[in-house]
Amino acid sequence: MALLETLPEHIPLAPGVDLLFLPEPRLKRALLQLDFDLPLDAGCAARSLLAQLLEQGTAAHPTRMHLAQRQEELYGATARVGGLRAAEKHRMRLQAGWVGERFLPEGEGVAVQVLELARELLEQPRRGADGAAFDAEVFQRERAQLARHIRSFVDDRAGYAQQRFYEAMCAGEPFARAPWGTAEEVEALDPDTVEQARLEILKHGRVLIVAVGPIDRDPLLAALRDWLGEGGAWGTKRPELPPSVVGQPAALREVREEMPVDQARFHLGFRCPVPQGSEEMEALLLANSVLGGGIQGRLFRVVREERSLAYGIGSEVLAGKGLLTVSAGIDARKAGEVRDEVLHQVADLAAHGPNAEELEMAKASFRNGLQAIGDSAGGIARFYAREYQFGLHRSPAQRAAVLEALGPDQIQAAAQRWVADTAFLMAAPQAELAEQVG
Amino acid sequence: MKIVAEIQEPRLQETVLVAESEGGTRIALARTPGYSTRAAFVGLRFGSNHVHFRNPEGQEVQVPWGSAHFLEHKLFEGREEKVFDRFGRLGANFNGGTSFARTSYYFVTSQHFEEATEVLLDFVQDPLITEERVEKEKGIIEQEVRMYEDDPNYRGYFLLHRALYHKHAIRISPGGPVDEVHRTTAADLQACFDAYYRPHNLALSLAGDFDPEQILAQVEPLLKGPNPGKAEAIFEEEPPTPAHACLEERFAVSRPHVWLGWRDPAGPGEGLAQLRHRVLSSLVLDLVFEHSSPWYEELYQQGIVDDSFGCSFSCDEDWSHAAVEMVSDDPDRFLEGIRATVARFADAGPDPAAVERIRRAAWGGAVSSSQAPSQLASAHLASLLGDTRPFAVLDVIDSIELDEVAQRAREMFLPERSAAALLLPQDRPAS
Repeated sequence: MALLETLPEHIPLAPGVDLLFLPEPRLKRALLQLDFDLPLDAGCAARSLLAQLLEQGTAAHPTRMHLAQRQEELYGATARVGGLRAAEKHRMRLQAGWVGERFLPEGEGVAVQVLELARELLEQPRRGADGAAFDAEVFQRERAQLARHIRSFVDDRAGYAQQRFYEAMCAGEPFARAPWGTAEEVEALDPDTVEQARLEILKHGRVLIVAVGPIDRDPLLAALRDWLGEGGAWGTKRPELPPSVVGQPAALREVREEMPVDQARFHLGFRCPVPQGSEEMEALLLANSVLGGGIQGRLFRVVREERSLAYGIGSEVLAGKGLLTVSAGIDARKAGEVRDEVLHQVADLAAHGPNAEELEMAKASFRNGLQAIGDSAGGIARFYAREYQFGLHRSPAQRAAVLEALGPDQIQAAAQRWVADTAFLMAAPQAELAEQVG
Repeated sequence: MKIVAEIQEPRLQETVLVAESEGGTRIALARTPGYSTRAAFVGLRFGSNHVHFRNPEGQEVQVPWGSAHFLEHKLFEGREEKVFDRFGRLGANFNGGTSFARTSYYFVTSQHFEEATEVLLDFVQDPLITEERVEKEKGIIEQEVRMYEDDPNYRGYFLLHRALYHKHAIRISPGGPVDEVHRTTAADLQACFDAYYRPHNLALSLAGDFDPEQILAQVEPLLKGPNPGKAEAIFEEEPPTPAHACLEERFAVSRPHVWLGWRDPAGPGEGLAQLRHRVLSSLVLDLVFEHSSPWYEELYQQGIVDDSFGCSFSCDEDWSHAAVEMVSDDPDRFLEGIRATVARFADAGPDPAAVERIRRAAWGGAVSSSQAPSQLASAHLASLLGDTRPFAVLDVIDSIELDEVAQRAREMFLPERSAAALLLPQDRPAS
């Protein structure tokens, strides 16, 4: 099966607003994703609350119930707003999906209506009495709910441990900030501040739109130009975002936090330069794959399969931030062994590079993943958005060619750039551990 | 190998071939022209509930809780070489899963499909289970079990099961308690494998852009020949009403986690009856608790529910229950609010317009979940194991009548069939 050789049509709609369009009639469901990028800063809390408020109703669909009913009428279409951390950016994502026309009764295509609904979510929130930015009761309810939700995030052991790890490792850097803000920040918000956040997103967010699947080009383009194009409703100046802060650790730090958990959460973070260009990027990703990017990785094979020290262990590259992180759920009493084994595997990879079989398995995994991209709108959107964000603009086939050409020396060189920064353990108090059996 | 049926689903523009091997393994093949990935799922109706059974030779066998899950782990060890390495060389994504009543294994790949199919059918049919291998796995499984036990959602879910059921095996999580994991032996796992992993119990589902005849010809010699005999699960008799009105547990949570469930007196049986029961019950839950529901909207406006709310319906041959859950600072208010709402809903009956809207959305969902080959292969495996025709769910959705929904709503939310479960912070006074 041939790799996807297509490149999406890249249509600049305005400075700082780009559309990647890849019509794919073979797919049954269409996807439209609008990413508004802003700095990961103190505005995160307002944007997180905004995302919740926008889903509480619009001028035309005044409650969440009405919005949900509209989506059901559109054959289970979706239109959602949310926020996430992308390197050191706060990415506000408006995502819409709908079933392709060939699976709906004749004349019942829903694309135009879904697009209208998506725009309505961002542009026409339900207002309060006397011109207030938001309905007072709804605002208070959602603000209190978000603050409660943030406070109970501690109950999500894995997610909470990861956030605490980022805070410990990247203290003082924007990356350490939780993209949902703190409960205190949320509680201090007022409707005008949140409305300002909404306008900031629309006016100043750097926008990448990806449209994939059974979508007609011209109506989509006309609607997007009218909305976010140069002469459209929000044709404003959108400043460039600052580059990520890349930390330079002096020595490995050890951080331990106590929580009443049964299983300890272990994280080990390494710094590396943000890759420049195609080869550096792929060498870093392949090196991560050899280390712990999947079941073929050394961490899974050695730490889990040979030494039975963890059920799940793996590593991940956050290329835009210059981070490589290892995470595992472990028995706290074996944290030292896990840490030493990870450090040993990293040192070994840097000293000797991968062996031929490891490299081939890592490449085979990538090859498989690249060939699979075309089978879902989400996979296609993720791939091309990432290419755009790193300025690489390759097709899966072009990316595969770069990967195939890499040899063990380049993988070794990538691993040599990893510098251990922070080992983090979230575990039960020592006294409780002593009582555990097994 | 014989072709048993060719099932066309013109609404989804899909076709499935159903075949049966000489040994009795049922096979579904779905061709997906233009797609790059190919997927293979194999499964059987053997899960964590099956810890006490009479094997095909007539002997009664009792194994530790968690044995089906442990066996799944051990099958991945392979006979000669680890399955991880074999799939790894092929670049395939793979995994397995054990639920209460089923175990399944799968891979998804865009290359070397034939070789990967060979690996799948080899390790699932021909394991090597030794004491040494079993001992080595215990630490890994213990960590997996501890990971789940740390999750308030998972923990609360099983607390609710213990409130709803007296003796039923679904009171115990598929991984089993840690001490049961540690007492498992190679003989236990071998006994499970010998009793259940027989060709006529296996179902295989394949999807991708391939020539079905060619694939069938390839698969035929990889499937074992007849090994007749049926294991019979032995379950304790389960009373028809909940075991407890409410169970509480102290746990390391920041706020109370609350569950409320309603059980049916018995399970819906097998096949189409079970599918219809599942679809109908899910529709009732949607009518009350989806964001589009005026009933839910009222609860939301009153602050009785928030975005941490969730609902689900779960059933198999011999159990059936609906559940709602939420993180709530006022569990009593939450429980009262939900109970009052479902009672009012059951009295009022369903709104015909809402039923039609949900039917439309369900159609969109069916289209969206039948796109990638892995989705199709997984769905067809569920059909084979559930003894229903692939895509039967579409006809069930279309054929449900309003009266039926009203009747189900009245039966489903009977107060005497409900039970609650509370995970409370360590420092909170008892409710």
